[in-house]
Amino acid sequence: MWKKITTRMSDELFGFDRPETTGERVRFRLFELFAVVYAVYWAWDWGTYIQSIEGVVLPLGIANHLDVSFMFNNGVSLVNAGVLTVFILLGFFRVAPKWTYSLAVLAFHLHYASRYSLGEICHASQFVGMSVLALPISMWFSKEPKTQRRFALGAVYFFIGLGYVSAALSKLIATGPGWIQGRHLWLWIGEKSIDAYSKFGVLEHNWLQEFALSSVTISTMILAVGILTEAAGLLLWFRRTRPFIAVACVGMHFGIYLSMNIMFDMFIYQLLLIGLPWDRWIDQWLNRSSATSTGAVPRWVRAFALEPRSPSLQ
Amino acid sequence: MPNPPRRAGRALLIMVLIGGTLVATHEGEFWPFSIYPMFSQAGRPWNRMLVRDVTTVAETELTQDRSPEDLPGSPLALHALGIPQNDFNKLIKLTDVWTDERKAVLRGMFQSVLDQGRTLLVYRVHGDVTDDGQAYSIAEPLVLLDRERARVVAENELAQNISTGP
Repeated sequence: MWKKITTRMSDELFGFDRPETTGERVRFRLFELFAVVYAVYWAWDWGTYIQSIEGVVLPLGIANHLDVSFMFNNGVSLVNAGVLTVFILLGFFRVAPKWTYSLAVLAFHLHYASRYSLGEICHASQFVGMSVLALPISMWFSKEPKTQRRFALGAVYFFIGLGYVSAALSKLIATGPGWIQGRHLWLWIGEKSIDAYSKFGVLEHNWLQEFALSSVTISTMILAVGILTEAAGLLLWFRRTRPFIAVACVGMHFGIYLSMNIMFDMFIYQLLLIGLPWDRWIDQWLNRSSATSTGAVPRWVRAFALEPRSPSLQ
Repeated sequence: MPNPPRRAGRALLIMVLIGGTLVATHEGEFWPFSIYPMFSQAGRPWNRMLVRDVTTVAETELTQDRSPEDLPGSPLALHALGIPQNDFNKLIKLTDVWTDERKAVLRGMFQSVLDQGRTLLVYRVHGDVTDDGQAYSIAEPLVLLDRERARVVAENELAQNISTGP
């Protein structure tokens, strides 16, 4: 029984036995590129901000054990941004990727712990961070590129799915089923409206907030749909349900944005990138274009996807 | 490679155990691992902070609690200044005692505005639901910042409990 479950889960998350297509390799490189681009973006965005921080208010992660205030002055955070950038780019271009990606993860964590030492716990970079972490682990786990790709993406599906379920469970454990009571949404709308007022200098409600504030029943329904979508995040683990739950989670994030002014845009991009069947669509596109031209996969596609030699579309 | 599914299962289990241990020992957060506890506490009264530019407002106007729609001066949009609202909010929230160091961190955030000779008032906005189920919010003046100092506005009396900051 247990063996059956683990075999099934392994097939759903990783599918090591399935043949790998060019579309799948291209999609993986796009996923990797996405993680690398955002890591570099945050390296410099956070790196410059860290220089303006005067002191640690709430230590996070490694900052509980290491005084990260050395990052705040003399351009140290910018040096760390440079280190992170170099290591992650070396990893992307497959220069000792196992080591360079591993060192990039450490630099990234130190960067996060320094940037968010003022008290706010920001989750916007969580999925990208998990992706960057999965890359070196996949390389320590296997020497075979196909297995590495399957493991990295499978681990990301696993932890993102688990994250959504964990978010739903946290609510139910902390508050119970009464969490969905509509007045709770009213309080959050009030709270987040003040945040928006402070950020942009304008105090107003949008149509969804007005709609929710007009009735407890409506706001209760909005919260119920939200928590059910989160709890269904586990469906990201399964190939058949993955595209549907990815789109549902994207919808939930738009709902959060409209009702609470919190935009998880990186989550949305990543959900669309890993949740939708881009591999199949890319294969279909390649099949169509190869049928009308030379019959071969374009060289730039092969180079981007790190194809070893004359692959066949499957 | 021998039996990738089994090795993958083990590797994933090790990640879960390490991540779980780190999260369990660090109050639910060890980036990039998290149990995403935000919004788990539902329906609680809240406090959020905002800033008004009160350069041209008489000090006697600055000591009263008011509705957020009815605050003196003009709004200071943090986004335009590149100040993250969440950092600003947490800094105030996590400060029980306004030490010189904390005042310096707060003044550091608004240094560019204060250097222009402007006076800023930090408000704490409190939100709750009344007994008959209506949501409301009220803003209380907290810290007055100008070029020279940060003054804590306590118990709505600017003249009392004023501490001179750095």
